[in-house]
Amino acid sequence: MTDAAGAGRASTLQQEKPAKRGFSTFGRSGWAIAVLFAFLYAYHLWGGLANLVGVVSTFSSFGVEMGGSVWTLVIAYAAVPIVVYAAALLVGRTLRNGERAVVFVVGFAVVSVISLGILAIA
Amino acid sequence: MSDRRDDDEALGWAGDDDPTLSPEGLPAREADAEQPTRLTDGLAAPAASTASTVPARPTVLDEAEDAEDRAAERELADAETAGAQLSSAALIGLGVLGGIYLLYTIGWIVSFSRYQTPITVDFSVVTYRIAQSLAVAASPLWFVSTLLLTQRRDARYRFLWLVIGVLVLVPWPFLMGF
Repeated sequence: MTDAAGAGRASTLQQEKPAKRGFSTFGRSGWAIAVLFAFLYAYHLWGGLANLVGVVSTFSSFGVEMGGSVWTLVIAYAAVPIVVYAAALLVGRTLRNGERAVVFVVGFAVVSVISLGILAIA
Repeated sequence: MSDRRDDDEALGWAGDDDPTLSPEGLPAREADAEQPTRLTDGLAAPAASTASTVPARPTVLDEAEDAEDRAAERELADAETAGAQLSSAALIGLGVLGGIYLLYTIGWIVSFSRYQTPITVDFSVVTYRIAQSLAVAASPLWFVSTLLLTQRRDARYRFLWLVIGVLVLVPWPFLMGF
């Protein structure tokens, strides 16, 4: 009984697999959600780029050469929104539209978490 | 809490899923009764020589019944996974992870409250406060949405995503004293 049930579960998993590949499940509304959240994430990206420009100009105004670690941190800070957005997009592949929106919302908060983490370490 | 294995035993007989048995007693007996006539049937002549040693070949009807059984079993398995109760280990694990998320949230709140507003408040201060507020919200958001989105999935995914969250949401500003 339990063996048969396990086999049935395995077969359903097998059946679900192909549907999970690719972005074809997004559809028009799915992409609309993705674009909407792209604009929201652009807020974080803009902050990161502003920080990048600000740090570079500050260093140059003092005539100090920027070290590799500083470059890494500043670029990572600017890249966090892009990385998290891509991750949210990937995670959303297997989900429905409402769930994708939830993932993007969580990602939006996570961008702040990682950014503040980088600021704290820097 | 009842033993899961006992529940399963109550729902079936040992050897229930033996493929040589029909799901119900009556069709099996009918099939036995049919066999002699099938052996003497002229259409089954090529198989007749081996049929005495080999059990009856599955007919279209048998295959259809098997397919129905498999479909029913699959449905049952799906229903079981959907309605399965958490094991006590999973429950304790969820409690521990929930506690970690709670501590993270408190860490972010402490970091938020430690902030001292500078004398000149410009836009960067505002964005920093927004970021801090979002960071406070991130841990509970991650926890709740993980539970929501993995509801219909295997418990493994739930724990995988919760552990990823524990790694991602560490309140570094709090730990570094900011």
